[in-house]
Amino acid sequence: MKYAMVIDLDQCVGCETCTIACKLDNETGVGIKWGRIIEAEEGTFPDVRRAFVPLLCMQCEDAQCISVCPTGASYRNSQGLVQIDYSKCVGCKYCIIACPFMARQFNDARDPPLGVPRVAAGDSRKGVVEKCDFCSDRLAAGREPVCVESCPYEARIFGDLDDANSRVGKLVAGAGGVTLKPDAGSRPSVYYIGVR
Amino acid sequence: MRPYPQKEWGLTVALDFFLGGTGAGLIGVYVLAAGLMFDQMTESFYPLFIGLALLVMGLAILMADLGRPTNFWRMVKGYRTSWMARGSILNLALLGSSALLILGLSLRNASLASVAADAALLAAALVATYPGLLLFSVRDIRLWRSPLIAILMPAYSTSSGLALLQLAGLSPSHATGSLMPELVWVATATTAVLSYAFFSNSRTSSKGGREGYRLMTSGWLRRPFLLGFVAVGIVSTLLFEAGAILGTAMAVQYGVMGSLSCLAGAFFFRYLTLKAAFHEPIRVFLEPAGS
Amino acid sequence: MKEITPDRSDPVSQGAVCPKGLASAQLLYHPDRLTVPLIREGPRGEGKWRESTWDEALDLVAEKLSSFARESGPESVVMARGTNRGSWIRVFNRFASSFGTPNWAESGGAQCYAPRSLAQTVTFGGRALEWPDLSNSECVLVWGTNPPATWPPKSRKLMAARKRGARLIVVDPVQSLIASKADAWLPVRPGSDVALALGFLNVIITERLYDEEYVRKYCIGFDKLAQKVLEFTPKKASEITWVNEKSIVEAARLFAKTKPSCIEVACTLDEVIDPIQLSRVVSILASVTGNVDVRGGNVFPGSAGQLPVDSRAFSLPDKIPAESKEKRLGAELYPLLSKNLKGNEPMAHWPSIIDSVLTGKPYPVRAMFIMGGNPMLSLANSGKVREALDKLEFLSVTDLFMSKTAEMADVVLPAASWLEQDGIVDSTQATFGTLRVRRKVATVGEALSDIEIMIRLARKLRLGNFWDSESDYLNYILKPLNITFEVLKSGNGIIEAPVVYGRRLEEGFRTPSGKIELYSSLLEEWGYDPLPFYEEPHQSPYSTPELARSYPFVMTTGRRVIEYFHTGLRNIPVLRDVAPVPLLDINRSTAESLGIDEGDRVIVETPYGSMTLTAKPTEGIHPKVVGVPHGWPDDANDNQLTDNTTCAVGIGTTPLRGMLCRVRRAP
Repeated sequence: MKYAMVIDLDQCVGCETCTIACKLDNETGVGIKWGRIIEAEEGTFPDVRRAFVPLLCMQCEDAQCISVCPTGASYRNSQGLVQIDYSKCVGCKYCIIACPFMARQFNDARDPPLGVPRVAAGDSRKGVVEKCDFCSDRLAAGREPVCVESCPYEARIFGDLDDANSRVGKLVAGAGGVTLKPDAGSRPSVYYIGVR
Repeated sequence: MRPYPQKEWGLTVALDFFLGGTGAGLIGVYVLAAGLMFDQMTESFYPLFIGLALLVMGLAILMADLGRPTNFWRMVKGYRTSWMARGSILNLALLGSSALLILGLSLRNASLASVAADAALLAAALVATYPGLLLFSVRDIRLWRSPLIAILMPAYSTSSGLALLQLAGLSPSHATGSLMPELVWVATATTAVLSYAFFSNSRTSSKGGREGYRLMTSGWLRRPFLLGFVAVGIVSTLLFEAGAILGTAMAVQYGVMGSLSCLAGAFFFRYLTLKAAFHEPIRVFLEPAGS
Repeated sequence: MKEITPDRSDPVSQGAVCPKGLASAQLLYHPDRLTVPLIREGPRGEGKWRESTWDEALDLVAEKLSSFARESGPESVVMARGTNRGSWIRVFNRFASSFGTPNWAESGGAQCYAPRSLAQTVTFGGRALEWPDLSNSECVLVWGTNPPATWPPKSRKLMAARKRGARLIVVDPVQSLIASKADAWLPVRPGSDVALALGFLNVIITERLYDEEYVRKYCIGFDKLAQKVLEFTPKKASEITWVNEKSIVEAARLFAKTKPSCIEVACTLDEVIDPIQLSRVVSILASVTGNVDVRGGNVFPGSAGQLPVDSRAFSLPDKIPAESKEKRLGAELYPLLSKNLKGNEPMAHWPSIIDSVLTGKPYPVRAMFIMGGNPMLSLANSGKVREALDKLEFLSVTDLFMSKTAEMADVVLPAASWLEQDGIVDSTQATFGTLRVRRKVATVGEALSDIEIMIRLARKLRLGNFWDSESDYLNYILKPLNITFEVLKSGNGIIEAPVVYGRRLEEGFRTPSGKIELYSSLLEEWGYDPLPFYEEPHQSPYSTPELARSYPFVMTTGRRVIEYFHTGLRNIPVLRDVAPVPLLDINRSTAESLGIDEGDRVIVETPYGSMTLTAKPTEGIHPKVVGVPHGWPDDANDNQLTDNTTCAVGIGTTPLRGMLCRVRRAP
């Protein structure tokens, strides 16, 4: 089982539906985004190029976050997914620094603005580091990650690279999928196509 | 996209590295000096207490920075791959061996003291060095990917240890014949040269490195860098210690000022190393616009 | 209700969800939801309320409204609402007519839909611009709208067309989400869109790129039009609009030469000082290129066969007493909006209403009944709006939350959200004519649907023309289809409305001549220019150079983000977390020259007021243009910047784009 995701940057239009769907599904707190969109801009007015890049946990094959974790809270589970055992995390934030992809965030149980109620569930992770878990619960139930399901433009494709018939494998090979920051040597499992 | 700074570790971690590194440095230098038979030092071994106190303070500050300090006891489990876990073990070893050394010296038990001293020296050297290895492990921050960082950390620990000993040993009966100002001067000059190599290399090594360098020379880090690190930490240390070396009437005062400046430099080194640390940018457009 | 998931099998959305919909549980169970009717205690605006029953509250509303109608005529009561994609807004019109007041108003109205509705009707007798046939189009010209942030199902079709190979041209002062994907982005100076469109027409006509056969067979007035656009050379258009000459020419050629092509529009066409001209010239663009009522172009909506609520037969304007009918506020100055002319449901003019409250002229408006609208934030010149609402003798507001407008009320009625009511959604805008059922899955407090509230109130007011219950109403709508709501609900609840191409080409367009009127006989009849023309906005670097010295930037307001809808939803946790603050689009070099960094608080000022928001420097906007978002409360309310005294000729639009402002960093 080698889960992977392919993200089509030509289709990603930066709408943030995935960011919000993820936050709803995982009940994350204020300021916490397990998945996010970054905006890349190049050129000067009016010759401007703009791309929207969804980021999430890249599920690296050589996961730096696991190596640097002093308590063993970051580990690889039976699905082959990099996970965090929140009960073991000491909140030292070494893994946040070690991650090249901004995938991890420290939960400081921030207050929402005036008039906005708290999403209490996220507070259970106060004081620890959290990240996208590739929707491991949904995967175990045979569903797709919520970001994949909620994208209105089907810009995200998910599958098992070990499955010869899966779309992800074909897309990575055929469409010239690239990973981000190859120099960091982490070997992410999230590939990007439609990059110009 | 531009290089982006690491934002997790700041003043508290810089203090933790400084206090821990200085404590280790003091203990290590003291034990080494005692081994070289500077008899006046073994008579009253209060520098060991100071070193221990610094280590404990450093650990206390670290605890305050942790999100779930109650889980601190778990911080040794990742020793197989994590320099932070290894460092926790080494800190424990240093605390233990220093405590034993103090015990041995108090009880005037030479064999205990001797074994504890060897262990403490080794532990101190490793505690002084591991922060460099901890930072070096972060592949995406190119500033830290220089081997120099693993040398600079113990070098600063050494110069800080010497500076503290100078401060501690400066009573009238010890002022004459002491080589402390020279040692501090040389140690400071060495760290200055190594730091120069370290920071200037980062300017050319990578995008993130360049960004960090820019921050130190013209961005918001320029006061900590130019004032704290260069002016106080290097220049005034060298000047004051030179004054102490020349043995003028103000030698003692110059020595004090020199030590304090040296310690400030050691702190600012850690602070700058953390705050000027940039991640490499996430590159999206593979070809330049218009191509 | 536990979870909301996308449904890929749905014919309208094809699984494209909007995150606001996904976040509905946070709306449904929000602790600040209004759950019981409230009656004011203590002075207005102080926030002291006592809870009451529906009967008591509605009795009070009925008694008050009737007494004003008796004493000063039903026209002294204004019934106002916001916007919606369900059918309650049409029921609201019927309610107002049955009560007898000619003064129903919509926060949008002259600023949204009314101008372009009229312009399209006089041009091609229907609203084809609302219906680009994206799935079959080869080129889409998106005029100022940003579907990825505003309309996910439509946006999905648009992006699918693009993926299929359709070309995309986007006109927008800001490089929006969709503009980032365009083959051509035209950053038009806000307020000068008509000049850009005339420039396109000039290229298309002088280079003979128009569809000669289509024009010959289906359009009238071409020669006069051609003559009129001669002066709008690309060079002239470029000077006026600040868009590259080359871009204008290439975009015009691309649009005309690619077939079929369509135009995607929204209220951007309406929120300017010359909305009729803009919608006219955009309609003409679609027409001369032969793209109206053809597959892949702009088409006419089909119907699922239900009773059309978007009609006078349903809204019953004839129930308004004769002497009151002529008194609709705004009819004199803005007949295209407020007089009974062709193409629109005539509605009262909001700035005229405000004036009536404040001055008592031409007659005093004494009370307002507001449903699902937030005029305190939505209308231009917030200061005046506040003054007027404060002066009212009676105000009733129906809403989900205690909005800024509700805070000013005497009676606040709790409304049910979409999950708390059975209903029918058949808005041509939202569902492309497809009729679908809405199922109640939850109850919150004592909140009632707007239709239920109107039914009860109609009963208390003893109005005819209403139903006994909401299900009676739903069955009434479905009657032509010979199906009851319960039966429809028990199935999949969808009745599709197939698009028919070419019917009007065959049967004739619903215009006086039966053809597409490039030269509009109706506008001529009503005393307006029958051909489109460009006029520099009333406030601009060219028309008011003195003012431009103190206010050097051209401003566009109303920028949308996906997280919010107009003035609502800032209190929904997940949405507010992802879009926590209003952002100012400002050019990077401009920001630098003003000492403004990303994330800095900035103040935008006009001669009318100021607002505070957060800067987002970008290269995707002209150095002399800024983009301001809409719908935030308090000091971030963009309607503190806008004016309601200069309104568009004939239609009364308060311009919300293309005015002057200045920007500085907040201290």
